[in-house]
Amino acid sequence: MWSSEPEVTALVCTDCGRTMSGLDDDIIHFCSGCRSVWSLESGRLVQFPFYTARTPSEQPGAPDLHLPFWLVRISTPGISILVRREHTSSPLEFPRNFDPSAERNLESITTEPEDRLVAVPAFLCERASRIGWRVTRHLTPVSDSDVPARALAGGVVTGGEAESLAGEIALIDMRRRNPGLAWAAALPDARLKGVMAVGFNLLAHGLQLAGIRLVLPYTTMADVRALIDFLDLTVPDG
Amino acid sequence: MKSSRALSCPSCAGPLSLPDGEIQGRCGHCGMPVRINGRVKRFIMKSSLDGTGALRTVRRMLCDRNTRRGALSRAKVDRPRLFYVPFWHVSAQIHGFASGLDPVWEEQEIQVAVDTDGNRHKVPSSGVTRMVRFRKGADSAFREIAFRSSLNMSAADLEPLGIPGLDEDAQLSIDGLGIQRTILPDGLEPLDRKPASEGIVVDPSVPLSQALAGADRYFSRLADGASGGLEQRWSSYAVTGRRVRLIFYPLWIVGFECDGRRYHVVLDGESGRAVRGILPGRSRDLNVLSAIVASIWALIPPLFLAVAASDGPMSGNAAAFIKCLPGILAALAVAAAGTWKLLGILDSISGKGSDVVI
Repeated sequence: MWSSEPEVTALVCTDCGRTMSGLDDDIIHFCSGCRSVWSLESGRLVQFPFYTARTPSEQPGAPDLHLPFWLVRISTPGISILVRREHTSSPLEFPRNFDPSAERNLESITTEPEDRLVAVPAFLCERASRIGWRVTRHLTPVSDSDVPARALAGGVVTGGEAESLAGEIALIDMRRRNPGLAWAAALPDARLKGVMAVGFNLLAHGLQLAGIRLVLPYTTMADVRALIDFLDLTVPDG
Repeated sequence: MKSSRALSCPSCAGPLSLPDGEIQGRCGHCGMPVRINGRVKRFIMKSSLDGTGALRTVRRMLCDRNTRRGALSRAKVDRPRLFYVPFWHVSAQIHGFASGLDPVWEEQEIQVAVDTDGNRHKVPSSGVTRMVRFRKGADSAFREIAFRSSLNMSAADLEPLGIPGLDEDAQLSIDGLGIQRTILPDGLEPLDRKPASEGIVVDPSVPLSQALAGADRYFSRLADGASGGLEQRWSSYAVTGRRVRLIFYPLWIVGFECDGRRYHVVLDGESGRAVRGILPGRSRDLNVLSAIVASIWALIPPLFLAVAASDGPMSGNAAAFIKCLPGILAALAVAAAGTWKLLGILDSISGKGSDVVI
């Protein structure tokens, strides 16, 4: 069968023929020749539209590192949700799992229809949903920007995982707009749109983004050395 | 132990040879970077213990005071064998949230009713109070779930060695083993770069899909734990960035024969400590001791009677014999009771297992 997964995949951009490098766990690969982004899915490289966003930092200087974010389109005609008041004065104990008949003061709301993009970190980090939510709020993806020639670090989060995490980020946003969110009938529908590169001034700011510490994607065992080499970072001895 | 698998380069169709532990590399002919699909990166923990060290450890154990005396001189110890046993290491990050009601409690000091007149008529006492916790209500809660976790699972059955398997349900740690359910030892090296010079690398028998399913169950349990204490809870989370590694951990197995029986000891190759094993116990020594004690005890009544018959009250003087009879009967009763007690002790000693299990 042709559709079976190939044993070996050549990490080469099929648009311009340039080879792409990456670490062992990388799923997202960036071609610095034609500035295209590829995701390894079932042993095949699949191209995704590439976007960039300016670094959130106001500091001067070019970013040291561009980290990949999946752009996921969230669309919903409106979701039925239940919202509770901030305080319930009932001295009675409630069931452990959600039971709408157990509470009296639940308010039923249908959310506004929405269709928007959510940024999902494609790398490993401590609070991915919160970072994704902040990047979604503050950054706008642009497709015709002058992408720096510096390579984009690879991502380890698959497209499918990004779609499910986008649902969580959308729910965080929904909860901000509806304090006391108790239950939602469904998660928003999520579809991959592309990959966005966000620049970080790593050396100047440390591993920080909007006050949240980033855990670099390759902190396991020997991969740390490979990432340091990849970024040309100078690490003091000892 | 170094092994390789021939594949063809998708670019130049030349033979592509990468070590087993590698999942990425370059074609030796055209230099094309390639990725091997379906492979898992492998790491190995080098054994800090060598064969001589393993033998020395077992010899030391055979000299231990809990093991049979002289076992070391009688034991025929085999050549120690080093096995690299596989463990799946699955790591992931879990993000989501849990909403629900967080109960609010309030403490109040109340007077305690006491029975002052002894007629079971209790009245509130002004001096005796105690703190009581009342449920006041509940607050709407929204908790963020955000953590990274990892799990090590046995990729081969180690039960025949007496080592319990590690999995998502394992509650107990394995005593003496450097690799635990969530802990990886320091010093792991990629398997491809420094292959082990000696030892047998055990192939995993637990499929990767089973390990991933077990890890997902474990991560789900951890995520559910984030909403602990909440009522009316509703949670949602996503497991992302799953990464799998295959870790080979060194275990030395030293077998030996002693007094016609086979024994074995499993040593941790990293720490050098004994993980599991069976050694000849001291019960045989105790049996010999029991027999000696029983023989001495058995000789006491006849000796006593012989002495009594020759010089004592039983030598012919009937009046003296009658006078001493209560004493003799008491001595015999004490001897009988002592014999009964001694038999119990000897029985408990001989009932003990003959081996020392580590």
